[in-house]
Amino acid sequence: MSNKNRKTNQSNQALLLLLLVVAFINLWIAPTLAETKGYRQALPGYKYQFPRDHGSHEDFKTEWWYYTGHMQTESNKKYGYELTFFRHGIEHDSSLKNKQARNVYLAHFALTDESAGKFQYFEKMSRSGLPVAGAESDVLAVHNQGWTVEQFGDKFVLRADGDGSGIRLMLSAAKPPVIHGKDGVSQKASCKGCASHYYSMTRLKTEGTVIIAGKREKIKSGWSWMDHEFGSNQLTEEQIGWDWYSIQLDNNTELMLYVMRRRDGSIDKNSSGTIIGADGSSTHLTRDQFQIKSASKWASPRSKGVYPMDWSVDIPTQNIKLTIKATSQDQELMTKRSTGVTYWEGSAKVSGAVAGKPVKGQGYVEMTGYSEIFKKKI
Amino acid sequence: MKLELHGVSKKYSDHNVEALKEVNLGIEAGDFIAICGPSGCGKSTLLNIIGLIDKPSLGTVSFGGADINALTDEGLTRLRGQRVGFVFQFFNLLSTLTVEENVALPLEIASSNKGHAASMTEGDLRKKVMETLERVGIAKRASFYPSQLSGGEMQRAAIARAVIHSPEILVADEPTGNLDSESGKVVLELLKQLNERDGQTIIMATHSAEASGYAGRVIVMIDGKIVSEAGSGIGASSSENVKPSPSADNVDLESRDVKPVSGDV
Amino acid sequence: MNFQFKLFLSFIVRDLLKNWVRTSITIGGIALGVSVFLAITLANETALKKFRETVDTISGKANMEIRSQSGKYIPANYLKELDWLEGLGVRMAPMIQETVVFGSEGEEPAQLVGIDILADPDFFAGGVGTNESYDMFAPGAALVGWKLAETHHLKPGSTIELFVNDRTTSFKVSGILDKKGLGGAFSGNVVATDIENAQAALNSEGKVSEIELIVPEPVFDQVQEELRAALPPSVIVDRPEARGSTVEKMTRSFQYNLTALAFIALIVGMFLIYNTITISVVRRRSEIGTLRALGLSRKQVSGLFLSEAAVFGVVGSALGVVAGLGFADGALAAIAGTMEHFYFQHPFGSTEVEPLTLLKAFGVGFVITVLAAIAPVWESTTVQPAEAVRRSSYESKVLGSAGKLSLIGVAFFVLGAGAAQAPPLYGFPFFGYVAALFTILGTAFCTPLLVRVIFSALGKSRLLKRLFGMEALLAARSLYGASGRTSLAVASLMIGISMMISLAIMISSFRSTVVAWVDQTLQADLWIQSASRARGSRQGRLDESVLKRVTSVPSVIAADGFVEQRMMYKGDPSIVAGGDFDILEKYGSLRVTTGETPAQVFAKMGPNSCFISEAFAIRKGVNIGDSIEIPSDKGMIPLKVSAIYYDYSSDLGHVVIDRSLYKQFFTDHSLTSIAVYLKPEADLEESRKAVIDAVKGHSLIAMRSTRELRTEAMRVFDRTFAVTYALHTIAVAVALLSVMNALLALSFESRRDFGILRYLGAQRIQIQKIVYGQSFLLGCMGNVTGLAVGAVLSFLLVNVINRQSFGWTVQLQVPWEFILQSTLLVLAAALVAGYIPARQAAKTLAPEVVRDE
Repeated sequence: MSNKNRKTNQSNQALLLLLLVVAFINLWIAPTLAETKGYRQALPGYKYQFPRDHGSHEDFKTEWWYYTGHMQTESNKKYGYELTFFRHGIEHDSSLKNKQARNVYLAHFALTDESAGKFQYFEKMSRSGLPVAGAESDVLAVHNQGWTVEQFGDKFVLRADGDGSGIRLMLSAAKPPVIHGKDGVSQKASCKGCASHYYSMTRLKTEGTVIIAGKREKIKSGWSWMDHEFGSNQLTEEQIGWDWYSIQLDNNTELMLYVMRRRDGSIDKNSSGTIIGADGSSTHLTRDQFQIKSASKWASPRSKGVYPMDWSVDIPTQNIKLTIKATSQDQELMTKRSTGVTYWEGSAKVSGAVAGKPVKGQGYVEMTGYSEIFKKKI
Repeated sequence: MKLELHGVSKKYSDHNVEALKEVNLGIEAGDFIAICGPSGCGKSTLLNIIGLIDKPSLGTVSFGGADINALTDEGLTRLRGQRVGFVFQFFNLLSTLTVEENVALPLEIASSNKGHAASMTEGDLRKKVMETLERVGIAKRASFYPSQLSGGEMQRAAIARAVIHSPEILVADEPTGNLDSESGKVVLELLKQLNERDGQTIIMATHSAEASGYAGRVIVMIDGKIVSEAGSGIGASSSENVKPSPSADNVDLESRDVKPVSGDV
Repeated sequence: MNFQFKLFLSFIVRDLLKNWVRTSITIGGIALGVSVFLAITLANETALKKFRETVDTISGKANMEIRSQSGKYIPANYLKELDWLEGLGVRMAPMIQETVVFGSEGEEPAQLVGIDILADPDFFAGGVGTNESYDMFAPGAALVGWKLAETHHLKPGSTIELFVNDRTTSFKVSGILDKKGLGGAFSGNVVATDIENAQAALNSEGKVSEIELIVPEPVFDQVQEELRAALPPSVIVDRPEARGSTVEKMTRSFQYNLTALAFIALIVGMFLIYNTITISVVRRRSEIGTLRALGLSRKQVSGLFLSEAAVFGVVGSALGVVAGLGFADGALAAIAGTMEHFYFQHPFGSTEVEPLTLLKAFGVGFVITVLAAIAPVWESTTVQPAEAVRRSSYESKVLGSAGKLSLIGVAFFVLGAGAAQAPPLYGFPFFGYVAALFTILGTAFCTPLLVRVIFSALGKSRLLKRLFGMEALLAARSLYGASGRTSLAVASLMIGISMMISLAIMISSFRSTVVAWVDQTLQADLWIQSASRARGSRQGRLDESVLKRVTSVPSVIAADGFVEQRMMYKGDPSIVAGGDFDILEKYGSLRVTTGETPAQVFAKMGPNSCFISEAFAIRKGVNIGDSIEIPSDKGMIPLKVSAIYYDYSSDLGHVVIDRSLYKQFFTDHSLTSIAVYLKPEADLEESRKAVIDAVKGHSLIAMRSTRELRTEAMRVFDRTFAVTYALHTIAVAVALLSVMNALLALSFESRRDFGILRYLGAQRIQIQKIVYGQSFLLGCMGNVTGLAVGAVLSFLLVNVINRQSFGWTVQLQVPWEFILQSTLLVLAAALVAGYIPARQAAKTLAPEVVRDE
């Protein structure tokens, strides 16, 4: 992989990219056996315990805390946000004196001004050994430089800034955590351990402040979604990317869909989804239980990646038909500094019908592996 | 009247001796004057004043109408450089300069003082130097250093240096004092020839009677005073009246041996 | 061609060539002076420049840094408290570094630098510039600097071993750093690794050496102010360049004094020029008179002699610059040891040539030459045209009467005595040097009178005649007759000898003082330090646990764990030290200024009492009974000064506190050294083995007996003074050239007398004897005056200059043997210097003298 970064003029950046491409791609692509040596595999039978499992799992190689949400300010402006904290283990079983795991911490923060169609994103990169980034292991307390998420009782406090914009959010869970997959594992590929432990907080009441260009705006109403996933060995070489959808409907149900795309253009059979009922109950969806089609495409002028847009979702078993439309087409993140990969993660509007009843909702869509750059790196 | 001394006295502060006492003297163009007298009689002091080297303590000196007392050191230096030529007892050739370079000095000094306007070209200068050396008969020694010359040759070079810029007055202080009699004669003949042929005004200090015999006017000094002036009859125009001497034409100016080059001194 | 220039060539240059011996001597003297000055300046500048370059390289674009002023490290936790800076656009990166020793056998210090490679590439000079692919994250992986790689043939994949404190640690080379970026720091003697690797190797988890910041300039002052308020006072928040000024401040005394010593050769050279030009003018009075008679103006005459000085200045300085470049590396090597031992560690390598420095050295040489020529050039303008016809003596007339000159000399003595009382100027004994210079000038001005009195007496001395014959008497008389030039020669010799003597007395006094101090202070039986420190890492420490292990050895009565830590006292670098006061009281030895016994001193001490070293007391102006505050990891420690003790181990000054107090205020409890006291009946060698066994497997130590330590101390001492020796040798060489010069002139002008003597039937050998007699008498006279002035100078050096510069009390100790030897050497040199003139004089033939000037 190193050979691909020679072009960058600043050698240090080349080094960083090199390291972090390795790191970030490892979040998604199955690491070699040697790289995961000493790390625990995500295997069936994992027993979740909260709030312990909100915390960090250093015995797994990769882990992320993923927050997305939609907010309406008192001035009736609409915003979408993404705040993600990654932890990537470099070394676990080391002969070093400090037996602690060594990690690289990455974080992305994106803000979509839905009313103005503006999209901003920021990134952070830190490492263990210095008190600038880290995650507590027994409680949810993750920070990367000035960006933090912390649990206080049943509330979660989020904070992130970038270039005069920022969020100060307090999230309250309206539903308990939903564990995806089967038997505590969300299978990502067919091989053993090619999986993660994955749960979501699908309906988080969102209060606080959003700061746009230094102006603070109080949030009138908002809902967030949180994903927490950890594992060591998830994807295979055959998988070139994925599409992920999180949808909150106004009938108090939520939907998560996960599509793994293979190199040959087919959809991996391990793709899956979860439906969360108004009562918090969850239903696992297998690959063949849902279908997603895209009606148009958007080509990124920067990365030249061509992304599907205007999706329609059909889940016949649940009698769900939905259309998803991005609030703004350009919500692509080119994370040069931290991960060096490019992906699309954006807020979307949802409409359709559940059991014949019209529903509306909002969601977040994540698409990876579309940009040329990303492909090259793989 | 070219140079006139009027009531000139000279006192040296550090000796508290009056070297000159109210001397009056007029020097005309074409004069060949010998100043005689015993050591310490004031010859050199008088010569220094005539040569514009010193200023009198009292009295006036006018040189071509200019009052010497009124001149600054710089003015005096310039006047001296242009209008006076010097011949010294010890020749005073600059040891690190060749004969040619020594002789060229007065012209070069004069032109350096006047600036470029008056300066001669390198070629003209050399021509003039060679001409002058021809006149004193040591043209063949032009590129020699003084230490490679005999005494007589050195003094002839010194005379060449003294007259090259056609000074109004040639001042010679004991010009034969450091020479054997043969060489002395040659030098004296040369001076006489300059006086007669070119009308060069010469003031010479000497205590040799023989030397004073060559002069047209002989002034005798004792204790800072001129006690007598003789031979005014033997004017510049009537050199034949003086005791017989080989005519200038008969003097073989080239005959003297060149002193062998001395060691590593 | 311009006439003035033509005359310069024919009148000046030809004369210089003709007198080529004297010309060479003069030019050689200036060249030596300039070369020494340049070499020392280049060495001094390079030392600081290399340090500054490394600071620049490492900090990269950082314009602010946070570091401790009381210890090696600061807690990495500060980073957390600096979160808010992000909002102001501040970027930051932490770093940890330490001098370690490379190689298992070698004693080659290298810098271990731990950086956060994820930090902004604007830090660390654009980062680790290399094309190799590597993985610094891997445990035990490191990048090595080009210089280390070159010296030890390292390739990616090689394993290197480093001595770090009292342990070794090995790294796997994952790449070689080229000269750009971080690899250029520490002259390429660098081992760069990820900060976590470095922290692990240094056993310093959670600590960093410094935090580098890139602060937008508009908010710089605000950020600095807020950080200073927010962080403990023991933390420095400053621009990285401030480090350079700290080091500059720290080494200033050493460097300035070195430069002052280098200047001595120049001053002696100045005398040489004065001498030469004066001789040139007086010798050519008649010629100058002739030129004046021929109409050359005073200005033109002075121009000629000024141009002569300029020839000396230009040629001498140019040669000096060339030679100085040649000496510079030697000078740097000579001061490198001292710099590293006393001040800071950095690989110095070879000197870096700054064109401006070359120009400066050339300029100094030229200006000094012209200054020295002013008096004789002025004299040349006083020559009257009338002197063309006078047979004047070769005596200088500008000097005036010997009596008047002596009055000026006395005035210099009085002023010098006053200057000796003055305090230092910005920590530099400026007035001490003024006093020394005035002493020399005073003596030089008194020399004519002295020469007249002495040689007049000698010229009549029957004793001299009886001892050395007629020739000696004639020699004395001719010296008396030419007392002006004799005075110049004597003064030249006096300056050279006084320098030689005074430096010798200073060094000998220093040495004997240090020997006495070492003997008295080093009372323990064994001394332990870490392996890395023994191998050259000045900051290498021992783990605290070693102390317990050593104490547990049966034959050990007590083990005093001593730690020295650099700190900033009121902005000046100095040292805080922690020692076990109980052990010090019982077994140790401490010489205090009041003469009290250790027991008396300790009896007076309270809980927050400290000792300060004499250097600290003098240079910081602190006295017994004063209250001081020193920075620590936990804030300022208020202390009361109980005693001032003699210490010659550092000129930065020590504040010594009890180990328990030290541990209370400083987080790092490691030790610099341990002094081990054995039971009276214990066997040294057996105990030594027992101690080694006790720490085996835990700590790598180096142990020395007191005798070995004393030897080592004296080795350091001699190394430190090596440059001084070299400098004073050169000053003496210039002085001898000066004497030779004076003798040459003297004999040349005595030629007329010699010619007459030859007429009178003197043999060649007799003439030679006279010349040698002159040399000998001059040598004696120079020795006598030189010894006298040397005694005064050595007093000034030891009690004023050294005391103000370094804060050390030194007992005067006269090296009689050396003085006797050097006296004889000077006489021998004077006779050698008489060789050429003696030969010339003997060749003199009477007629030449009479005829030819």
